[in-house]
Amino acid sequence: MEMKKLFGKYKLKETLLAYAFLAPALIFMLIFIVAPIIASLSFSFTDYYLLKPNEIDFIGLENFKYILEDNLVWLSFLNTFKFIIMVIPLQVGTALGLALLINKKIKFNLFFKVSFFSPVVMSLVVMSILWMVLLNPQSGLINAVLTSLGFEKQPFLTSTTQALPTIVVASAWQGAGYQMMIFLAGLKNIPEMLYEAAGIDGANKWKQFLYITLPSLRNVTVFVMITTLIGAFKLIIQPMVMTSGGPKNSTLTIVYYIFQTGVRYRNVGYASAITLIFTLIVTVFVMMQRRFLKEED
Amino acid sequence: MKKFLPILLILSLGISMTGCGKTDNVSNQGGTPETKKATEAAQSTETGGVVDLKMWVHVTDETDEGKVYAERVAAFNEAHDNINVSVEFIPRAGGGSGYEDKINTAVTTNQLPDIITLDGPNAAAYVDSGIIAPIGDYISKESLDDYLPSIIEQGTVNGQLYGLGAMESTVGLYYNEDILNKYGIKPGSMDNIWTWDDLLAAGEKITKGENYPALEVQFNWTGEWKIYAFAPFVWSNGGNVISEDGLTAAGIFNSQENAEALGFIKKLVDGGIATATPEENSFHLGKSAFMLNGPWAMPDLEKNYPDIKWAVMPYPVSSKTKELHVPTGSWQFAATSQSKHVAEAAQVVEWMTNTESVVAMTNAIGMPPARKSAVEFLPAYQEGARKVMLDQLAQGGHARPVSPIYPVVSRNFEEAIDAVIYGEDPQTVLNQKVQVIEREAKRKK
Repeated sequence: MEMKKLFGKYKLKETLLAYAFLAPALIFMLIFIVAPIIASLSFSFTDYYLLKPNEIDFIGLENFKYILEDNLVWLSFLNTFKFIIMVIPLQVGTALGLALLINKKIKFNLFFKVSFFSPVVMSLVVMSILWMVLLNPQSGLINAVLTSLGFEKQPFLTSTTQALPTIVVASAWQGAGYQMMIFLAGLKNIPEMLYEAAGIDGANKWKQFLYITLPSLRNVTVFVMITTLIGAFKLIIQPMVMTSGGPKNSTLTIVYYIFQTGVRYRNVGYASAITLIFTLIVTVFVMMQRRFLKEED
Repeated sequence: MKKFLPILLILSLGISMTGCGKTDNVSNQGGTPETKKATEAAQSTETGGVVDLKMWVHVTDETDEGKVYAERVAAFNEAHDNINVSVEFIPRAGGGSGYEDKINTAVTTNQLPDIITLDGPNAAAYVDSGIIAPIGDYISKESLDDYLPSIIEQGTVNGQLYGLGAMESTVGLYYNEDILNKYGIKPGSMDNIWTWDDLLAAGEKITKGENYPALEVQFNWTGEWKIYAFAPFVWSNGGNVISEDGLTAAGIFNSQENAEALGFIKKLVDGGIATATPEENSFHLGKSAFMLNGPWAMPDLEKNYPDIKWAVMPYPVSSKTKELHVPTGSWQFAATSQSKHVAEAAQVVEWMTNTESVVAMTNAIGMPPARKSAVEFLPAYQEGARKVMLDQLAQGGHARPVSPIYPVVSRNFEEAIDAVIYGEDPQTVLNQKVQVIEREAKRKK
């Protein structure tokens, strides 16, 4: 009995102390993550209009009924999926390629490392504006290069079919540097002796890459793909700055549409409802992706 | 003592959380106007018989526009012993919505100042939400008659005046005199306004002759531009964007008149006279013969392109009605409902848009003056291109629709224009878009 009591007391003290240490982080999490999630969850069942914060009425599932009728919701989901399907292979592939390049011991290695990583630290808005200048259909540098090589001028951001792929390329270029650093860390962790052994056994560089590098990077790749997926779902700045979601809504992404609904149309309740659906879909996707990538183990 | 610390921390966390919950409840349930007034913090105060008023404007004090506001407020304070106005300059950062975000937040926390500036088309939504107060009773009829009709129209909601602006804006048809002479085309004027057919005929001839789109029109500008610049086509053809109360679109937004107006845009694009993605400054560079643009293009043309001989003719009218309707709109001042001194605030609104303020504003940023009496002090607006802009404003200025669901109307108008530019059938597109507007309107009825 005596022991148990002591133990219990000890445990309580430990637990409380643990909470005390966690408290600063917990308080911020509660205020900036949990509370907004709960607020948004409850707003999605109301008619909250941004300019009428004193007249919030519960309207049940009205907002969700409205989502079913709203073509723009589905169009923006579709655009987001298109973006994800294009950007993940491109960005992850580029990141891996760059990591392999700078993993070699060559001259000016640091210079390349810095240049490949610098887009990451650049503001997304600044980057988007720079791309717009380069991509200008009439006076942009890229079209000037294309015409001097004998190709036709391309409309890029002003075409309904090219705008989204163009944003994919710009985003992959901007984001790949970060994933490159993660891949690089993964590459540094592969023991050199594996390659030596394979070399002695007669495996060429390609085989070494296929059977040593790739399998060793497995966990890193899963991590990179999941973070890229989540990042891709949140796409908003590039279409906002570069195309305003156009032409003809071809670059309207779901987060951008939620922002427009809540801020421009001031329908906070409805925007919250779309956010809820969006959150559910992202969760399902991330879980599916983890499952899918783990099963092959 | 040590073990109490964590408990204290947890308790304080709990208290802070319930605290949050409580304030939420209060603001959710609203409460009577009296309790609201009691809690307001950023409000005006009375000290020793002097009424202190607070004003928010949407530019920084480093801009030319901001400097005029600062000067005019200083002049007001000097002229009035019993009122003292202080200005807060709030930049429109973040895609232009930074200032509006601040207003939205202030509405939620009851911390609006006494006077705010607002973009023209926001008036209806702000009235609908009880943010701004009517000021018509505090301003003399003589003074009201001096404003351009489009200024009054823009500030009036449900028959009551809420806002007044110091400047106007519009879009005219710029033309290159040399190119028109080359093809023997006589430009239009206020006495002989070009119709759509005139523009199409001249455009076709020049486009073919120069092998270059004759009309530079910013079909690639996004956002508010499309309804601002192209709704006059609809009005000129006898159509409208939405009903008077701003909540019925069926049969109005998708009327045959509107389809014809959008059909004119389609003809411009189909004929190669204008393109979906015009080359920047093609008019400035002497490549395009025409350009639809606002007065803000003039300083650039005068300063940086002295070799181009250009002039402005009025906005083209429907060949059917020949009625002149031109784009208008500007930021305006309004008194807030949360203010305890609406009468004094209305006085400030009038002062900020009086003849002196209007002259100062036009001199600073070049936009057309909002008051007729200001013209005699503005030589630039007494002749040439600027006079055309002013004349067409006085005769055909048409404010954008007043509607509580304006953002949705504006977006769908833009989408309809975009669809037509990219080759779709006007009537089909309008029929699709009208359903979206109607659905949104249903939620407000």
